[in-house]
Amino acid sequence: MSLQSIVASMISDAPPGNNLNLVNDIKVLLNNEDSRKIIATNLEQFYLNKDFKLVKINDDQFVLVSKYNKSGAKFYDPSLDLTFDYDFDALKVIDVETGRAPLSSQLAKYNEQLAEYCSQHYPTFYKSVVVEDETDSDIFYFIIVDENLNDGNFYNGRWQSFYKYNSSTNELAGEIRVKIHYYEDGNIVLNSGTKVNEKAGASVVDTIAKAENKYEIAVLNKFAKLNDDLFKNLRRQLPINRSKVRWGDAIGNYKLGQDVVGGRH
Amino acid sequence: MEVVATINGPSKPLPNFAVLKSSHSDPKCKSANTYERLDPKNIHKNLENICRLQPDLAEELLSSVDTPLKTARCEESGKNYLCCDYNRDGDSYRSPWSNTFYPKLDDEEDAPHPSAHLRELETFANKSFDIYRELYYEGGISSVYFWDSEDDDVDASGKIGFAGVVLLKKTVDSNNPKDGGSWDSIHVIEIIPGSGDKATYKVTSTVILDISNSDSLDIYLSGNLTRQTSKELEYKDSASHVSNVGSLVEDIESRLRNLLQEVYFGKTKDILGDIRSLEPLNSKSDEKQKHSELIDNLKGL
Repeated sequence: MSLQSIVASMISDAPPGNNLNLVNDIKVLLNNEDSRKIIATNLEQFYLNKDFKLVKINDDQFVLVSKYNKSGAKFYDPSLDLTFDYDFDALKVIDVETGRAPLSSQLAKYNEQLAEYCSQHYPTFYKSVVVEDETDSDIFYFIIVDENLNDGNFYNGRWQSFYKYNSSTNELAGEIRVKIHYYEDGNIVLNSGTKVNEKAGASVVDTIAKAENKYEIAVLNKFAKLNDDLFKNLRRQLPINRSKVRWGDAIGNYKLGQDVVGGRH
Repeated sequence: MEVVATINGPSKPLPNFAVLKSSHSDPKCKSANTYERLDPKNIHKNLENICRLQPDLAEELLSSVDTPLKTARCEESGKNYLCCDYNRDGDSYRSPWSNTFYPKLDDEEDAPHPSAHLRELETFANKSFDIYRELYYEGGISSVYFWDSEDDDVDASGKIGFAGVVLLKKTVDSNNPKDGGSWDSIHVIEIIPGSGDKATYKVTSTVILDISNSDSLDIYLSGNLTRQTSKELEYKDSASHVSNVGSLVEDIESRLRNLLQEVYFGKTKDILGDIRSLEPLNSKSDEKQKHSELIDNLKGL
């Protein structure tokens, strides 16, 4: 395995949250004069090809870094009407410029509707964008990234949804992914996702809203099911006879396979 | 039960990050940090990657990081047992059932074995935990390993301290590799007899829990929790150390089980609710407003 692919694998495996800690750690591990460059290149590849990055552009606004809202060498934000670049080494937005070709009324409407929907369902740091495909004007990409970063309470969570919408066939295809990291005296990750394939109704954002609600309810139900079906079969809370083990010499009184499991075996 | 932040480890390094993390800002510490942040589902791949970047640390890291336990088969007893760094010699692991290393060693005599009396205690502990395992896990594998302190071999009086590890593993499989679950618990124990009839038991416990499911949607919950416990208990002879360790591990596992249940199925669920609200947020604030209007109206009565 090459150095590059090790770094790539570490980046794609990292939990949601600040990249800075991870970058600093990998830097020490690499112990290589090119380490900054190697890390920055891999971060860029990751966010352009596998994931989207939610970044701060000023005190109260966020933008997304993805290949879908990249035009030429720079990224753009359709609703804020600006272009920017992102420095994957310093981990910050640079080179912000206002003004870009005006949006089509359809695209402006999609951006407004998606932003309105997100403001109703995403309480923390989020950003939504809708962009057109560069070559096929029937194709629109709807992207939402939402992060809830709470290092003070040892957890971080991230929701990311991406949809490709074909306005001539009304086909909506995409994927929702959720990753939660809880690390108080431990290291626990919840990783979940689902593919979405829907025929969009009159409002594509309503179809997205329904799909996201359906998925979230399914995950919430799944927690209860996994707890009941799987977790309980790993280790019981109490033995079947509901009493604690009689340690010491008395342990010889248990007969394995008979008394112990209540004669079920 | 008293929970302490740091303890002096047994003669072997403790299998958790507390030790590594307390060191300086060096690659060792960074390895532990990075490893701790990466997806626990890919624990083996991540360790391998870190070891490739820092080959000098490989041995220490591999022996001090908890990974899901491997199993081996004891040829003599026909039973399976669990492998960890504490019963390892080269590429072989000592069976707690026969006290023999597998794959067979050329020089079994020279490999580390507990002293004669400690081996008796170890045998008793393995029988006891086998029953505990059946009662709580209804399946799975358990193994207990003891080792003498550097000063003195253990005798029946119980006045000479020693260390040990209690391992338990249970796996629930299914036909689909993306469905199933596994529980691995690792308790590293140090027994320090005091001057009177009491001994201090220091236990570092880690449970590695993996739960995966892929019907209707893909999900996995994977990770580990580590807790340290220190408790003083009365003893009368060496065998009472085994009973004390037994009830201590039983209590700790029950506590950790509750904690894992809370974190895996409660905490992550709450966090998901915080990331995305099922109810539209303005209806929530509408409700709040209605509620406060109601209170105002009541106050006005």
